[in-house]
Amino acid sequence: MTEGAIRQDLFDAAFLGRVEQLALLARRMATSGAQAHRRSKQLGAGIEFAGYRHYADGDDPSQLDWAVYARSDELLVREFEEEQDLSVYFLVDHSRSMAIGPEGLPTLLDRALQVSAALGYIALSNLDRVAVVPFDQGAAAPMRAVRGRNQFYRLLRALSAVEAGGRTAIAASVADFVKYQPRPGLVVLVSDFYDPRGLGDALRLLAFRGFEPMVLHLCDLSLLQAGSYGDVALVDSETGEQREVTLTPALMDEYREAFEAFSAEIALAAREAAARCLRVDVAVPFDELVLQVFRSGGFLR
Amino acid sequence: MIPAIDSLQRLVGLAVAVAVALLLAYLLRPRRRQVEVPFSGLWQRVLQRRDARSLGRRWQRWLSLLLMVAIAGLLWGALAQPLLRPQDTAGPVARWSTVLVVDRSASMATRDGQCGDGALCARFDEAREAVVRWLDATAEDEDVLLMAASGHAEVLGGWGSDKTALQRAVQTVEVTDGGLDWAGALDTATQMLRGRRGARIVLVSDGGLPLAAAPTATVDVQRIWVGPLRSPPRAVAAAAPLAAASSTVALDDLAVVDARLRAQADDPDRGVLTVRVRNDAQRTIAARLVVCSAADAQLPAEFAADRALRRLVEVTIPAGESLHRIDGLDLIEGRFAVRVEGREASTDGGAAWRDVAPWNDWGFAVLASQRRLKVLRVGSPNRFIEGALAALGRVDVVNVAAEDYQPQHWQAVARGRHGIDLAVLDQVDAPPPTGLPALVLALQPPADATASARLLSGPEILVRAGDHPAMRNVSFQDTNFDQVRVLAVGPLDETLAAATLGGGRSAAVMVARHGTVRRLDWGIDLLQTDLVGRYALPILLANAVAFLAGEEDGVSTPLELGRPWAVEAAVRGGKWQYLEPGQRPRPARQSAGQLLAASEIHGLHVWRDDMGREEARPSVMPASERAASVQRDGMPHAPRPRPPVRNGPAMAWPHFAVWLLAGLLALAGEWWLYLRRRTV
Repeated sequence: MTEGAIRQDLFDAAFLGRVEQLALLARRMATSGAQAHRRSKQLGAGIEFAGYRHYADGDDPSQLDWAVYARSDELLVREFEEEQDLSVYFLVDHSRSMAIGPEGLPTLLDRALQVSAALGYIALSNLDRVAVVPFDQGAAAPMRAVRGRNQFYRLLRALSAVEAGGRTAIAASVADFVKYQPRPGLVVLVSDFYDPRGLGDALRLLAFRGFEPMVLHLCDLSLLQAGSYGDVALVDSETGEQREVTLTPALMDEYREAFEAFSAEIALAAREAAARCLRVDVAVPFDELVLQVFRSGGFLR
Repeated sequence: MIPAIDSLQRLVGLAVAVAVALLLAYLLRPRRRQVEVPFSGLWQRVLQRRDARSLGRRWQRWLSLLLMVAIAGLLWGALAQPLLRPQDTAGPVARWSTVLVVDRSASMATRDGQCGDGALCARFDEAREAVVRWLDATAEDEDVLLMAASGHAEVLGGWGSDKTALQRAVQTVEVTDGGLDWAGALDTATQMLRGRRGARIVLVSDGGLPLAAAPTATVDVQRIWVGPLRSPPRAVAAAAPLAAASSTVALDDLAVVDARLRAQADDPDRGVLTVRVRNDAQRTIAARLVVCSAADAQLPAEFAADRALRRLVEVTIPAGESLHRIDGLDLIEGRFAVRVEGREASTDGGAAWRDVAPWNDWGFAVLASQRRLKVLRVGSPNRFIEGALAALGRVDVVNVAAEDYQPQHWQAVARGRHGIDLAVLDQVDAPPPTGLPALVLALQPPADATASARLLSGPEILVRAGDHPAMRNVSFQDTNFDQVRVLAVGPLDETLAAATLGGGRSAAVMVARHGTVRRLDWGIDLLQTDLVGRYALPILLANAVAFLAGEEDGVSTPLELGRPWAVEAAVRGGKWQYLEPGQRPRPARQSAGQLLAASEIHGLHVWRDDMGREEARPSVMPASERAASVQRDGMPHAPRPRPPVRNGPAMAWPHFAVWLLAGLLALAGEWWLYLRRRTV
């Protein structure tokens, strides 16, 4: 991924200011006791005592608890929880369908980039590793994960380089992503999920590889209202396929039903993979959107 | 038809104009507004769901169902077609079926005809030319049958469209010296046309024929006049002689009270219809009887749908009730309906027939052989009697064991509404129900009888009254009887068969009359004779049933010539031998085959079927006992030739391949619909 200039239309000074505020707010929410601190499942060199186990060949003798040995004549090794930094990956869909948005408002892709930047800043503030992986039909090699708040501009540059194009193939993209064997961590899937093959396979693969998926379903609810009725030719933004229909209020009602069913399918797929799912309208300002993510829980603990 | 050149050009010009207009309309059609959507898959789902609910989709489902039914039907037709192909393979269905009747009565020899060159010739020569011209003018697909009629009608050429052969045939006809039986000719022609579509009769005659006799109800009759009536005035065409003067009585004054049908004594294929007509008017009415027949119809509505006009008979009906007899009806179909129609004057002075009171103008008669009878059978189970009754095909049997039989009870039942027609008592020590016709088989006389029983052992039986309805077509020749009871014959009784032994003769089978009630006594036991294995038994029993049921003329056996007659029989090993062609007789039951035993004399074979049941069959039937081989007068019976096979409902079975092809096409259509269902 090339690192060029930062898009000022998305990441201007006002944006950065609001991101800073969001980070403070998020930190307060994280320490309010409502959320548990993230603990590593791995045991290793830390200061938090985890327990004892019997000594085995190859263990560091310095970890032996001699006091216990003196009392019980058993060689026991002390174990501590290893403290790890969390890897957060933003898999941002940049297919052609993401370039659509309501009139006068950012497109889905722009909103996705803004949200990813804001969440990334918060993660960087938390000393986590952050990487952005744009995808359409496949995913490119993930950028080298950055760590620390001072790396935020590298993140912004990476996000600014993302442009809309291509078709959506989530499962193939996730398969590409895991091929590079990134460190397991949190994967935030930001997309409209307009993939005929669905989301389930991708989420199952991520869960299988030890990632913790999170689904951020961006949608443009203005599409559920027809500007005008009558004969139209609907053109698929990704495939170019045309479908001639006569728009009527009744047909739009059916379309709304179909969209709700589609959203429910995404939520169901996420639930089956034990992933959190959040559907957000693109018309919602990004800072509010970020707070929604935090309120839903699970982004950073 | 090929259109003229100018009209063809006009047609092409019109087609080009229409094509250009369609092209312009296509090019100028309003374009749809294009709307970019992120994902058309959602719209596809919406449209798919809507499409599934749409009328067209539902119609497709119905069409699919119809196609599946059609597939099943066509494939069934394809597979069953070789089985269903009728014996008579009718040709292609003709648009018209015409019987051309040429009058060759003596009057046709009169030389006042006018032939083609204007020369004077015989009327029949003119008729020949008229026939040739008519045949030339007929369409290729018209089916024509040519008849020449005088005293009787003769078919000159059968159904077929070979007009040349018919034209040749008419040249061979000569004039006779008899008169013309117009009604008979029309009757024959009408029969020939039965079941054909577009039926009509064309009569070539010198005129003077009664219009009233025309079978107007079913067949269109057209006439070609020759001789002086070449251009007949309307009055001539409409004139119709009638036996009585016309009257204008109310038509519902006439009603058919009763109609009875029976076979003619001298010809069982011909029948006599006796019609009782009531005339409520106080005067004599000129009328006609319209006689129709049908294969299955029972009711006026059914006759209206399926009937064939058989006879039109002009009658004069006096006031009150009168009987009218119609002879010589062909009994191919045994169900007849007769209607009486009064005559009233038509406006043009001719005759017109009208039926305004159809509810009482119809009378129905069913041939006795098609009537169902209810028989009370008393005695131990006897498969020979049961089998013979079942073979009649028109008998419902009520079985009562001998020990349960109480004559008084059945006497009461018989008088009630249970409809017992007759009783059969087999070796029962009790009299038949009073007042009920009965067939009594008994070696021992009833306890209350005064006559003493005398049994003859090993007698011969002679048929003494072979002309009696109960003995028709029956022979006891070479039949073995172990024992026969001598019957006491009263003054009014009649001996039908006698047992002879040692020179004396004693009644063994007889008719007894008790008042008006008939009774038949058989002094035999069917378990002690080989009669049971012979064809004579079902005939004898059929005759007895018919006679006792009051069918005076008897009913010929329903068994067809050569149809196997089989009843289960108890086999007594010691009496039978196993006979096998080319082998020496062996004791019965030593064979592994199905044929178990055979009588020494009559070729009565006992067979075992797959279920292990044993049957006695007359596999070699003596020629003297074939049902139709002997007539009452002892002369060999010459079966009346059956009329030509009717062409039925003009349906020719298409070839197997056509059925199959149609079925496959339907299958392809269904597959296409299935794919559409899956992919839309």
